Amino acid sequence: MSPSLRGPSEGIVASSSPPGWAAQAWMAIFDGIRETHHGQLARGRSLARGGRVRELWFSPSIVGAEISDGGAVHTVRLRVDPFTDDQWERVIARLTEQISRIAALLEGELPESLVTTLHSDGLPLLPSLDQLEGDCDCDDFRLPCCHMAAAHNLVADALDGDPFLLLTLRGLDRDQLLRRVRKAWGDPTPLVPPQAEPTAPPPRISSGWTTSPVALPKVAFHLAAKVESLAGLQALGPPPGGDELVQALEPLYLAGSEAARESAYESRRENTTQTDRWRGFKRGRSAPAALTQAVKEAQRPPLQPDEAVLIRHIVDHLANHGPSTTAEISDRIGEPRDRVIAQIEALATLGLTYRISGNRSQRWALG
Amino acid sequence: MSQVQATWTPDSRLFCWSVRDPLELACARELPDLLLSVGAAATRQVVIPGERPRRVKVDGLDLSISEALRLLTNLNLERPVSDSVRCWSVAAKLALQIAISQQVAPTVINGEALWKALFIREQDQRTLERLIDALPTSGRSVPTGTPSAPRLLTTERALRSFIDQVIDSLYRRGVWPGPSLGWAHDLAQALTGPNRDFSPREARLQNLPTTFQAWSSGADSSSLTLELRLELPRGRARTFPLRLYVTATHDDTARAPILQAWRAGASFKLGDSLIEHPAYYAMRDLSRASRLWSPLAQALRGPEPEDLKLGPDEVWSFLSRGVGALRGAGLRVGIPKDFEQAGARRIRARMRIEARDDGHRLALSEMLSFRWEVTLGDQLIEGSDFKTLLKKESPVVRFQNQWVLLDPAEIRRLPDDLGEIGNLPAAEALRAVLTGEYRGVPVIADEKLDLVLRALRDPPETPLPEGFQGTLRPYQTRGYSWLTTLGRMGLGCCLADDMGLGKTVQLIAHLLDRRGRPHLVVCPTSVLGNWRREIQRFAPTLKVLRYHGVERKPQDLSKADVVLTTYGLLSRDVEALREVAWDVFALDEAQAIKNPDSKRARAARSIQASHRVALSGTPVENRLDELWSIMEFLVPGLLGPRRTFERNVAIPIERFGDEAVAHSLKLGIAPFLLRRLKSDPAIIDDLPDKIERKDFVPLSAEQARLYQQVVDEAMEQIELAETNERRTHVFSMLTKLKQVCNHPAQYLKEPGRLDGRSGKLERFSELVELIVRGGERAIIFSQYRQMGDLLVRHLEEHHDLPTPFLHGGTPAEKREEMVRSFQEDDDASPILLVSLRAGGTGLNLTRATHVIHYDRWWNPAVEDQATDRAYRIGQRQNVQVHKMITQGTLEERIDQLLEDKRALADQVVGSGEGLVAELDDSALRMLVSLGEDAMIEEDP
Repeated sequence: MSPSLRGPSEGIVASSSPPGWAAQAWMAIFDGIRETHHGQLARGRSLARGGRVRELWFSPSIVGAEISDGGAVHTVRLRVDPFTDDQWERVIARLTEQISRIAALLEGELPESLVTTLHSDGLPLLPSLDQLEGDCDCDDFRLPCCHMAAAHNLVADALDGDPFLLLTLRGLDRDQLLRRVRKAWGDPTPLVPPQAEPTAPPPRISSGWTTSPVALPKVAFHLAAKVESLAGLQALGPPPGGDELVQALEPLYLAGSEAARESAYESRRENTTQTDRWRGFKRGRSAPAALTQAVKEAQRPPLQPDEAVLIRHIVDHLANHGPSTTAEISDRIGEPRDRVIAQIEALATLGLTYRISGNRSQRWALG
Repeated sequence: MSQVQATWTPDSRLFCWSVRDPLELACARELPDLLLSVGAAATRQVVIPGERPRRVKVDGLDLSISEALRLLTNLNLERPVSDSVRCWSVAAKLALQIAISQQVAPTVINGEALWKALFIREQDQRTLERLIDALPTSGRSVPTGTPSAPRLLTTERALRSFIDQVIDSLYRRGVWPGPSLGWAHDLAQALTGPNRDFSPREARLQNLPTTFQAWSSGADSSSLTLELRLELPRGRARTFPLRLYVTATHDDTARAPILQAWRAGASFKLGDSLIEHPAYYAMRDLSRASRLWSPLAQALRGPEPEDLKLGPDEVWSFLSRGVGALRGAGLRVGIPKDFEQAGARRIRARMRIEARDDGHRLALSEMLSFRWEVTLGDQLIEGSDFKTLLKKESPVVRFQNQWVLLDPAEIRRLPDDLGEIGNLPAAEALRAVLTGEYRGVPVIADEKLDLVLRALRDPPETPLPEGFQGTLRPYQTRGYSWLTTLGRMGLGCCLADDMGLGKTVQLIAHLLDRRGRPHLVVCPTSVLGNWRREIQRFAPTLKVLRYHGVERKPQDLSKADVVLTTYGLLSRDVEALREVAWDVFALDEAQAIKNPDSKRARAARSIQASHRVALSGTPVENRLDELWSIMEFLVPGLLGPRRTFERNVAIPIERFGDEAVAHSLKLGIAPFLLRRLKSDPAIIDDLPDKIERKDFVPLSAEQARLYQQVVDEAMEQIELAETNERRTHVFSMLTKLKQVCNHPAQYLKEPGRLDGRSGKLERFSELVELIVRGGERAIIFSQYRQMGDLLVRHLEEHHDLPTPFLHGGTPAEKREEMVRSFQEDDDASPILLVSLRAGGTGLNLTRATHVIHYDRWWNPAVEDQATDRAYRIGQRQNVQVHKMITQGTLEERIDQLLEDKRALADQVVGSGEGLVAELDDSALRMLVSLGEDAMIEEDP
């Protein structure tokens, strides 16, 4: 399977953060020609930074890219000499020497120590310049042309994000590598992840479709008073992005946990006068009036009688027409804008609507 | 049959609709909260499954995820709701449990950043599995696909999608404050607020979505789960082995050493399970484990996993941090039993609470003292030994020839001088001793306090007081002894025996036992008369004051032995009542103060007394609001402040079914609550099979007026009538009076309001409420078909109980069906109304445990026959018979007449009407005149 990196319409860019060791190591391949190919390398860098690379994909030992330059789109192919089967056997042997190495790989890490060890084994993961080949349909016949250089810049960047790609470039993608490792463990059968179909035809039962096939037992929940911070994160191991992401997410985890706790403990006593009122319903009062009444009673501060109707209309509108501006809403339901705004904002404080800020106007949506 | 269904739609809404009735009607019965939710009216297609699935258009309500969450979390599951609603409610709570525990992870799908739920912990996995088995088709019956080939969300997909959406909406409430400082912050921003777009442009991040998905699925369960077991050192060794095993995920009883699984190749048989790719999954678990507790990295050093040997410090790190982290990640951990929290090899701090010198009283307004102790298992450790241990400065040490654990955090809590004494408010201390713990620290009582507690649990028998008329059954003697013991200690208590077991007589004995200062008994208006009768019967030497009516005098309050009053007057005259130094202050039918904010509840709490007692016929522990209010009256401070109670006790128990909290609560209130059930094997033998009781009720003002009118008009006619006409007039008067006593509407023959006009109806309502709440069944008898119709109407309107009515006009098959349904159907109405002269033959209604005679046949033989529809010799259950009699009227007097005759003649007398017709004018007048206690004023 080739991991394909499709860029959004404005193209893929190189990262502005300082390059990690993988990126540095890759660009170091071209150290020898920095003088002689100064122009191409520089132009390549600026094309990469400028987002001119429209597409970038990897497959075993091949990288493909589409670069737009001065109105034309150029197709680039880079090739890395793959390892032979024999060489791969030796790589696998090194990998299986320590379980920790395989574990690291699966978590998206390629320890520098492993690269160095393989290098001294005569199995350099990083190719030398003569192990690289390139193709481009532009007029420049120098190797590398600026387009290839642009692609190389992004390859370097991509390697920082996923060092596994280094192994892909040497001929085995992740799944294939894993299969070889497992074969070395005596487990040659393919690993099929459970891919459940999200939908199915309706079941062929003729009755009891509103009853539980197996009765739900009484479930006891335990809402922990003290929570291990970032428990989910810890349990999964380091995320892509490592510490930086963990730090960014930590306040969100706290806020989410608190929001959930508030929801769980929200006090809402069953209002018995409400149920008495609904008993009166059976004597045939009109449904819409009663519903409005109920909506009115559900609000916390006391409401004007017609405010409840207004709320109903606003809610119906948003549900049927999607996010809308207050102007649209007030036009459609025929109420003055200031009233609509006041109600929508009140609903927002209850968490029932929220604001979406667009380029020119802001819309409201149902939460 | 519940009709309101909740369906999770493919476009992420909860669609609520009703199977047959209009939604609003169905909601009024089952789910009134739904009508209070802000949802959008919607019409959707619903698929009805079958050999050929049909699509039907249905009107209903679409709820957004936040509204759905609010509705489902707050659901009152005591009402009958459909299975689909129940399942979604449990799913919502599962989502909350997962969200609070932060078992969530971000992921990127189709250019959007989303939060998703992790089902790593066993409890979460298991609940999800149960939900998958239980969700009915109606919970997911809004289709996608084409009209000719509709498709429904699979059960698993619907549940996961719902839970993920709940999680996402909760976690999205965080607000990312700052500017973007890189892609991590961009992602954080896409994970909060409404904008979910995340399509980074950097080459480095293009593979991020795939990596994220792989990472967030990294803990998805497989058929294998890693287990780590810590063992004690063998022999003289100083290191603790930490061994690695694999277990089957679904069956934690089968385990094998990890190497066996590792070398097994493509699959491994373990117990009844077949595990595929054992080495791969074992490695995955092991790798995660080593992230959670870093010393485990050692196990990954070589080509195959290795067991570890831990030194004492590492052992402590494992126990204090590792175990929690590993279990929280769904991995299994076994530790030596003795090392567990309460294990025999743990050194623990403990509090010993002491009573004051006088071991007989426990004044709750005081402080109790406590000392700290140090224990190893059950053994107390001396101060000097302890100091030696501390010097070693290691949490895992050798002591008395074995390895023991010393939690530094716990030890730090101890004061330097172990002999120091601390103080706690008595109510808190009492709760601590009863539940056995205080803020995580074990608690025991010293010998004096222990004696007090033992007396609470098993009170010594108290001899009956002098002047007590009658005998107590054995369980009643126990109840009475319990009341007196707690009374002596000054501890409030709640007697919550089942209806019919005689709470009244137990309390009366207690009142008689403590003579001296006045007692106050507050009860519902309808039983005021009953109380006075019972006190007169069992303790005639007690002077009773009925404090009621416009002419009541507050200055009389302290002059009586027992003051009887109503809840209405409790609120109204609270100032006057507070002036008196009451001895016993008892509340009958204490559920009347179930709302702690009500005037009467506050009034009750403000009145001082030496002993507060509550009598309740309902299972008090089931409604926690009610429990708090009553306990706060009885033992102020025992259950803590209301807000804290609601948050820490009520919501976890009622909403989330937390069993640990429920157990702790039970322990905490056990000494103050005595409840015996009719079905208790110990009690059944003491009970007569049939408990008959006369319920004397007052007349309403309207009834009194009508009654007098009838008497005046009729007596005039009777006095003037000829002999043969006289009998007719007398019977006509009797009939009219009976109708008035039943209900003015029966006499006046006009439709109109029912409640508030008849004392019998009020009391009848109270009885029905108690019976239904206790889950029992009752037969109601009335001689009159019209009265039966009125009762059916009242039951429907006031109690929401549609009741079948079996009367002379009911055709035979319908009768059989009614009887069969009452006896066998679990969801049939618990009440059956019967109006038949002879009670009919072949009527077997033994499922009823209560019989209420709303009005009476003044012919004991006929009446008994009716009662025996429910009671049969050899029947296992005890039956209570209630006979409603209006006091101060002819009903009471005729009843007395019949009793007198029966006692004399010892044979069945014939009918009451016959007796009455023979009375002369003046005797007749006396019979029908209104007594002074016939009417009790309306409570303000």
